[in-house]
Amino acid sequence: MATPQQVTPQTSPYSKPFYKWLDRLAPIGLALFMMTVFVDYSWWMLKSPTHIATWRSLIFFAIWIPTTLFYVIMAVKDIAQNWNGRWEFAGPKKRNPLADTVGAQKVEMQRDFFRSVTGKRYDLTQNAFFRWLFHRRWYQFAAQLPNVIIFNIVIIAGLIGVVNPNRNFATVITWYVWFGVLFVLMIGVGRAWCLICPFSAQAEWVQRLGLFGKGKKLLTMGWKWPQKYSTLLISVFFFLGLTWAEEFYNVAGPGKPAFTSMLVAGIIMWDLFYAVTFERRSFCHYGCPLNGVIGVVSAVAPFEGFRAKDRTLCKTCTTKECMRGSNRSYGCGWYEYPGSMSSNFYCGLTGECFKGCPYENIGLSVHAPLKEAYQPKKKRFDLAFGVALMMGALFFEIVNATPQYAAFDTWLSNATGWVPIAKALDGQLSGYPNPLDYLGIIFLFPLFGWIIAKAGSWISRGQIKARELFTRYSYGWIPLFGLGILARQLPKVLTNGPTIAQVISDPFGFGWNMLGTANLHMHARHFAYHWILFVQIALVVIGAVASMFVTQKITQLDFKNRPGAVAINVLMQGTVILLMALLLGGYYYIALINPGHPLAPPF
Amino acid sequence: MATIAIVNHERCVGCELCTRACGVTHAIELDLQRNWVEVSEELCWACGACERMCPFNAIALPFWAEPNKELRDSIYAKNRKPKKSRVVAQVSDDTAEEEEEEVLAGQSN
Repeated sequence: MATPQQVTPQTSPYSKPFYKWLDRLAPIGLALFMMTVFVDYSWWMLKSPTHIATWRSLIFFAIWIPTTLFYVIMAVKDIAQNWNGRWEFAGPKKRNPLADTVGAQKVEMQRDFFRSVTGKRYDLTQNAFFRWLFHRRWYQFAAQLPNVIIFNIVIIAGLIGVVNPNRNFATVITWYVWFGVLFVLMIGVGRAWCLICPFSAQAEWVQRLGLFGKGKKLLTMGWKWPQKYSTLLISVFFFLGLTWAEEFYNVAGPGKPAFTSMLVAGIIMWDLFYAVTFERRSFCHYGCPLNGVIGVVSAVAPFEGFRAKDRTLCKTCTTKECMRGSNRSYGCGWYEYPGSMSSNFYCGLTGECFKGCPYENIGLSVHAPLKEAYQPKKKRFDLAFGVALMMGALFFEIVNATPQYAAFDTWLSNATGWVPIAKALDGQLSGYPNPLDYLGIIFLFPLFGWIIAKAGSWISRGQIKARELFTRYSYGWIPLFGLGILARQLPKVLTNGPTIAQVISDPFGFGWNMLGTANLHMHARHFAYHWILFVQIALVVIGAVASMFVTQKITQLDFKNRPGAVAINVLMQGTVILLMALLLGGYYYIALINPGHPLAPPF
Repeated sequence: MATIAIVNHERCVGCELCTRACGVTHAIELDLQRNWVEVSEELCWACGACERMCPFNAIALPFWAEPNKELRDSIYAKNRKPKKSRVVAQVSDDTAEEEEEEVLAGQSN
């Protein structure tokens, strides 16, 4: 149960005409920003030495003009429709008196499910500014817009820009900046990336036929996602598939920027298909390759997501605007119900529930990190299996940097006849990575987790089933996985990240100098030379300590007074330490075998 | 085995909207430990009211099942608040009143 909150003031802290005009001017300002970027890039494109009728210019304007026109038309429509301040909030509805009797009784009956762990939390919506911000319909749009523009430039840059990946906006932004920022966002805020995700943003704008207004008509067939396939594992398998394809075509390696461009455009098209076929954000749940990773690692973050402040009130609410939408908000796109949310796993921070709740009963609390990993009573097997698979993918990313693996992979590819197939698929010449050893390494980890769970079940003399142990204790691997994968991305991000300074002024490598930083030569080694390995090691150690803490908490909360709990706890802690040792050894070995590489240790 | 509504435990959030929709037989109950709903095989008439009510499609009849529409419409008619204009029409017009009765009895589609 949520902790008691202060009473929310009935009236807005800002004067009415002020925020009415702000509501009018903020979207206009965003639309103008969009136009400015459009004009600026078009100007440089026209001015650049390449002739206007070249295929490069044609691709640029063929993508650039229709997309910008779409955004501008939609923005004008939303601004016109909402000019008279339809976003204003009249103040919370009166509390249902049944909440104190029936509601409180119902919540008491579910006390075990809604268990709360002691500790301080601060509700951001107690702050007038955040309350004001989350009530704005353009709140999410403002966060999405810069990203949408950036990733549209990525698509164009990959197609028409220079082939040198370090001078191309597409590769630099996607693999050197985004892939690092993504993990920092996950660990810091949770699903913050999902809030600003440009792929689902564009698909959702098409689905809702508007950028930020609340319309009545949707452009979607509204199919329901089949019950049978409602599992996180779909997303995890897409992630594994994407990782394999990324290695096979050397997209991030760094390879050809055109591959990055095609990958991004492909994800957008795929998302659009989901959006016009299925209801809500079905793509984000059952199509997005990153859904599993982001959701899982969000458990480390100190944000608990938009959640009911007082569950007793939700128990007596019959309208459920948070899920079904109201005249000023859409229903939750993420299939979440703030009244019974027990983890931030699926909260996309869109704030629709906050706008919809007529009782002002939604809050966004900040608390100690890691709570979301051990606190939920309902732990899911598919999520646990997904964590184990993704841990396998992380270890593959480490193992594939070793020469032993390269030799083994080449031998296996030749032995199994994979090389001609790889050539036909236009992948890497040696056929790396062979799907057999790729999947073999990945599936080793669920198997390992299952064997440990079986051992735990044997310790409890069969009193606790292996499935339960595997499901609950896999959550303990989350922090180690999150920080371990961040450590894996660090070398690429830190050694190549500085190229952003040049690329931001010259996105296509045409010799532009938009911001005056095109000739700023920043070399990677100035930024990351000796200390990068130590940062990696520190991250893994912190992750392992956090994992051990979560494992300890899971034992306390879920298995207290169960037979063999103490011994099982020791076993699970030992597993975490073993994984940590393997990760540390892996990172150190990669650095050691690369003399002259910036990763090599200083001694 | 009787045809009953099936609950998707991954998707069910325990909001109890279906419990309210199942107003005649009260076949749906919230599992307090797991926070998802369970459907009683003995009580469910497969009317499909819960399926229509669930915002997340977490509860649904099997795809081969034909919902008992007459029963479902009668539940809706019972729960629906009469509109003002309709009440006036009932007073002035006898035929409208008969129609209303038919809906309540579940005879009309």
